[in-house]
Amino acid sequence: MKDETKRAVELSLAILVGLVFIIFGLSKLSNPPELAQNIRNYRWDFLPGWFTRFGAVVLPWWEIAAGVAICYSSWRRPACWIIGGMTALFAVAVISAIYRGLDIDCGCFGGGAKVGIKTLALEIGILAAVGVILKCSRSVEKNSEEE
Amino acid sequence: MNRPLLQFVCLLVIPALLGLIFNAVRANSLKIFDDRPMRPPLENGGQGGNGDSGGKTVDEFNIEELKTILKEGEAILIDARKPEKFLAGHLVTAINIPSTQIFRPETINKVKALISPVDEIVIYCGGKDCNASKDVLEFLIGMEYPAENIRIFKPGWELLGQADIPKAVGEE
Repeated sequence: MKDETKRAVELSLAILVGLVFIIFGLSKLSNPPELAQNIRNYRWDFLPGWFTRFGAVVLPWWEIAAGVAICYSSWRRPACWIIGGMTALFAVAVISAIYRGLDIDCGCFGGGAKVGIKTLALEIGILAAVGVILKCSRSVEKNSEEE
Repeated sequence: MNRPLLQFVCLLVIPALLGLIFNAVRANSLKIFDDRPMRPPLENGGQGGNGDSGGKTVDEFNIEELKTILKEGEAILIDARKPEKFLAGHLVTAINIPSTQIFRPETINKVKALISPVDEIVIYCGGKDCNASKDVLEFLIGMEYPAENIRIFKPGWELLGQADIPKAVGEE
């Protein structure tokens, strides 16, 4: 694949993932108590209460910041690490909820979407997109250095 | 520190600070380090026992007090049993929040619509051995309803079913 094509793929996926994360963050921003409840609904009882509440307060802001940052080439790599890490954590939470048969709101969009295969597919899709972005970014960077 | 790592730290720290500041000034803020102790459920309905519950002794919360609370409409009464048991008979003013359905979005919406954070809440389930009331209590506390406003009537339907309190059959 040519470098131009790789750059186009990288940018397109970065904007797509960025938009998804900005929407995720904005939809949860207005109601931290509801997000805290959504996190508790996963019944990860080993998490202390303060940790859950802290997560409910900062998670939407991390999503928005990472969603904006991934659209800029100079911030793309650290944004990918954050988005990849968060998405991996969400995927583990969704898998554990499906495994335990929990009939709960996934908390992805601030309410309305239930945990299930579709949610898991979305998480896996985002992880795959982040992987492609990082790979394209590294490949283009390597080729530039060689030239 | 190399540049991507510094950016990574910035992307974590700056939004977290913004979130904490925004949370501190908003109306429905979350108190992050406010681990309110849960009020222990009352062990019985005033038929013995000497535990303390948020400043009130168990003896103070007997069936007569419950009758007064219901008569004066001072509290929201929650029946935490399964819907089929609720339909077969419940206290006349009770709303049904089955412990088996507390994680459903429709239950969360129902609670938000019917119960205000300043309401006194009394929860009952099948009897002294059931845990449904406790599950609903934890759910309500999770939804930021003040623990000090929530009480469990531990003897539950075993006692209420025989008590001289208005009852209804069917939906709430």
